[in-house]
Amino acid sequence: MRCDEIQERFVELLYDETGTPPASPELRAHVDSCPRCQAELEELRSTRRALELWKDEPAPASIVGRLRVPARRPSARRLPPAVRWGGIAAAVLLGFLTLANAEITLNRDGFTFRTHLFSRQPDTRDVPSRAEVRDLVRHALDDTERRLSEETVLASRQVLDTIEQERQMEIRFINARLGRTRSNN
Amino acid sequence: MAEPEDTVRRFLGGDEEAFDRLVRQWETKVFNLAWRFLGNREDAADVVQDTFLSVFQSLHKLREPRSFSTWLYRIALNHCRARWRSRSRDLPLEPSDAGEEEAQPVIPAVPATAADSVITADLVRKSVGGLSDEHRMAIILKEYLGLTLEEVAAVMDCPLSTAKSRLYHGLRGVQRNLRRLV
Repeated sequence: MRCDEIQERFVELLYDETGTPPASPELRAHVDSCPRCQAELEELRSTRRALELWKDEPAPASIVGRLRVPARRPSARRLPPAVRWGGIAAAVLLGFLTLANAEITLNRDGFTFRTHLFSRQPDTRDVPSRAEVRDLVRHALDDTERRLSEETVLASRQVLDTIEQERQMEIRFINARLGRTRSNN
Repeated sequence: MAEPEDTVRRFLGGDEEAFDRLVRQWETKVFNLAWRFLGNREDAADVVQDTFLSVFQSLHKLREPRSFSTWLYRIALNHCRARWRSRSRDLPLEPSDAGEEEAQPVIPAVPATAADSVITADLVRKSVGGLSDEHRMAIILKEYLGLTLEEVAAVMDCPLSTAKSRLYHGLRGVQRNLRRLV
């Protein structure tokens, strides 16, 4: 065992810690038999004693006053457990009501709550096919055209009737004028 | 005084005042870690504030309240490193407030050399301040905060063997610096 190879392991001899593996017997045996390593170890112990001269400094009294932390903690943990779980429960209930398409009524009969979550879905058999829809549209258009034609005929007849009535009135007026002229002569 | 993990659990359970107790329990240790690492009281006070602000914001992510101290020191160490990087390494170390009364030489109990007989607290402070970041932090965590070797490794996020090596070389560095300064 060479001195320069083991000097970093002197730390194991300097600090006798519980829970840390003790220095190996070989290391101890070497130091016990090596004056150079003994002197080195003693110098390190002396250095440790010198370090003790540098005492702790009291922290400035103003540090606590200077410490400005946010008024509220940034995480959700600042909420009391009751509030936190209450919020989660409210969110779950709101989600359920949304999915269930809930219906809440308040009338003279009292308060009722009904969801459509399990109601029967519309029967697809009642829904016409695309061809049926096309026929329905075509029929509607044809019917509209027919109705428009009938209305046009009816209006034309009304116009003709009006013209005929006016012609009859003019004839009666002319005959009356002719009658009065003949009587005057 | 309640155990830190109890205080942490109370805070996580919604006790807002538990955080104040947590600050009071740990602020001196965090301050001394930062002050010894940075060598400046003002910067150290800022690190304390930044550290506890980070703790407040992310304590709910801490899985195991028993490891609070390791977790806290790691946060503090990260803030120290960030502040150290933003500063010039050539800035002189601030004299210790306690330096006036410690101006008289202090005789170590077992001087290893003749030079060690006039070591003062201020010389020790300068010797530690002259170490590399990693060696200085290993010395602070082990010698001044009393962490176990495994805790030192956990805070520094390195293997146990690396933590031992940093500690050894840190001690050797303090030794060399003291010899130069005395």
